[in-house]
Amino acid sequence: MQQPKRILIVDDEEDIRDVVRVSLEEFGGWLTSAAASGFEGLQMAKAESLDAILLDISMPDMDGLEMCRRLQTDPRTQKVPVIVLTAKVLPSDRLQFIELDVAGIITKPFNPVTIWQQVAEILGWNS
Amino acid sequence: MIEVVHPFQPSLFVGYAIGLILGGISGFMTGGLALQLLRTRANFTKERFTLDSQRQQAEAALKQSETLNRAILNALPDLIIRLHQDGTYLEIKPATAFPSDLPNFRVGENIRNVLPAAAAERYLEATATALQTGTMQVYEFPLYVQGQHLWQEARVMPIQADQVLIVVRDLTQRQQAEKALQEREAMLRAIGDNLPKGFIYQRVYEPGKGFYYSYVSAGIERLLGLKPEAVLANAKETRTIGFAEDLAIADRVVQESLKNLSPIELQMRNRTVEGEIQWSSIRSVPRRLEDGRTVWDGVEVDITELKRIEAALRTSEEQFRRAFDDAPIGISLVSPTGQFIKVNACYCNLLGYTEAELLALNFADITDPADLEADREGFRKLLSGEIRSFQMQKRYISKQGTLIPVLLNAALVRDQNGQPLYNVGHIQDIRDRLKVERMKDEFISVVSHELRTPLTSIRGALGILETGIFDQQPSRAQHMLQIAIKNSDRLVRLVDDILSLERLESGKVQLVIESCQVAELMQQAVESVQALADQGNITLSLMPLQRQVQAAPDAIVQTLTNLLSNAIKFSAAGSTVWLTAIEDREKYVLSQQSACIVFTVEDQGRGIPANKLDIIFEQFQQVDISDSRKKGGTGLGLAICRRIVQQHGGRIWVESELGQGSVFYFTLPIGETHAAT
Repeated sequence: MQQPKRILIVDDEEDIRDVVRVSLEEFGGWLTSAAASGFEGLQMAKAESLDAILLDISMPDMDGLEMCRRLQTDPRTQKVPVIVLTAKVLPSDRLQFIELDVAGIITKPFNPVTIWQQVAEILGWNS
Repeated sequence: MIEVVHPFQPSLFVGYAIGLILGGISGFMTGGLALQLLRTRANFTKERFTLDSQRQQAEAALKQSETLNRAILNALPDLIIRLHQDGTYLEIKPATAFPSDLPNFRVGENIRNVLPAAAAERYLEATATALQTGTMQVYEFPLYVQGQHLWQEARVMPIQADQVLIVVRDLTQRQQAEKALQEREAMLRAIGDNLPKGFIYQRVYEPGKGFYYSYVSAGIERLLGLKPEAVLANAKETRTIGFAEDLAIADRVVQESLKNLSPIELQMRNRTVEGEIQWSSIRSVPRRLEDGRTVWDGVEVDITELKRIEAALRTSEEQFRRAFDDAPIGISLVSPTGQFIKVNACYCNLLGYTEAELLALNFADITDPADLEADREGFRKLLSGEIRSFQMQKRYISKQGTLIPVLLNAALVRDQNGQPLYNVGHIQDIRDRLKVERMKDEFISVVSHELRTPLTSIRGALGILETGIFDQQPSRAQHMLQIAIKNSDRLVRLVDDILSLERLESGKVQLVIESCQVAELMQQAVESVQALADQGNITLSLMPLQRQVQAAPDAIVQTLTNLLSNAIKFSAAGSTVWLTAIEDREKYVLSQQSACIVFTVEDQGRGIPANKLDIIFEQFQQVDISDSRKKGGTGLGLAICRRIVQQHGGRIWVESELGQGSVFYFTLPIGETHAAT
């Protein structure tokens, strides 16, 4: 039997973290962990074996862009695919994401019932 | 051949010829005197005076007279003929002034065989009339001789019952001169009368008589509405339609010309019959005559249209110069090769070059290399006629080396033959615009983000509930509901604040200013946050000021409430927040104000970093980006406070020390009329 996917959710919004965890666990059947900041998320990413990270961008202290860069430079985390989960939707916002080597972008607000399908599709887990 | 009689014998021929030639009555009288002398001689002969001395004297006198007459006659240039009434030439004295060697022209020949029939008949007719009337006949006639057209005058005088003496004088030169003069006069008149809008004139100054016109062409009536004859009769007619100051100048110029014979060049205004101003250009050249008169031959032409065009051109040039020089945007004229031809002040100021420096440069010299290709391509298409103008955003390199982003509008100006003359370039400094656009993008981005964040939680929580997965887990369902409600409230606050700020910023809602009691405003604010303070175990300390102030009470209470809420949120449990107000006349008043109320909200909270002190009053510039989540703020509260205070003519600022707490200040100006109660 296939092991359930392990997903790390990094978002400073507690309510969003809760909603995303419920969505991925209940509808995707995956295992999740959550971090409230970039620093926390970076520590957890290094410590855990992850299949993917859902990463918010606008966060205090260390934003998602910085965390992403650090993930990609650390041998322990650089292979973990990152999906940006953001409320930044303007073209000018998106320009910032171009330099990041992320697997995909999911825009807030999202459908909690189908977000796991979006993640699976981005990461090619459907086939 | 002409038969010439030499020496010419004294005879009646000589006497009459002299009389005729000397002309008119006096000549005739002279001829008569000669005849009288001849008759005297005949009488002497007939009566046979015996006194030799008398006879000798008379003969001597006669001889002397004949000698004199012969000399006179030979000296005359005219052709002299004695002609019989039947047309026979009796005597001929050829002309020296004109050719007269006609075929068969000799004594004894008949005039009909010499002259053309018409001319011969005219002679014979005059001869007959002269003989019949006993009076001299004078007439002029044309004659074609030896390839020349001659004009001659014949004087036909009866000298005997069947003979006449004819003196033929050549008038060809006089005739030609007269004809030429007539032609010149006709030409002059034609020119004068046909000047499209003008006339020619001759003006005379005659000592003792003054100025008058000796000639004025008909055009004066079309141009000035004056009849030529009226001006000829009274030279001052022309002054009736002139302007006093122009006439004064003209008088000075004319006097100068009279004195120095200097040419006259004037431009003068006249008032037309319709009351409009007509401009004339007057040019004349003086010459002094031997009799002391001074004559100006001149021409006056209408230059009203020229003046109008000149004025229009001046206006146009002035407008262009002003539009060019004073334009708030940079304007340049660039040659087809890219060389600057002309630049205005704004252009120079923007790029930091002087005009002289820019005129020595090519536009490519100061264009950012990254934009040069696109600029050249536009230029090339203009020159080739593919496009008439183009617009592009480009960067110039200023003299100081900085990049200046501009919006360039370029268009090509061609000459009448379609050849490119120059390129007109308008450049607009878009640094501010780009900055505003950037700020606007950032604002929209932040607002978008701030709106989407609570929406994400609401949408997510409700979406999960809708699936029913928590139907059997009430506590988890309840948690989802709380998330939805909490974020809905947050969304409402955010929308309220955004709208509130927008109304304040746009000025759509004017604050209603009225007289308020400061202490009451402070009390209302404290009461509205008391519950929040109690919840956080924060003590509120109020030191009210009894003072009337002109303000919008709700807005001031909102400002105080926002500041107190922030202070409470960021204060540790058990600490105190102070609200005070004082009247100040020195420390905090602005230059144009005499006094103000200074409100202070002081806390013992975590403080604000120094680098945030200046920006926390900007929209969405919380000290900590997560504050809006944790503390229930929207990131707009302080921006709203600042706007309200500014609209009251006051100012707002903060002093803070990390870990020690913050003091927020704002002032409300007060007028002297609003005395404390």
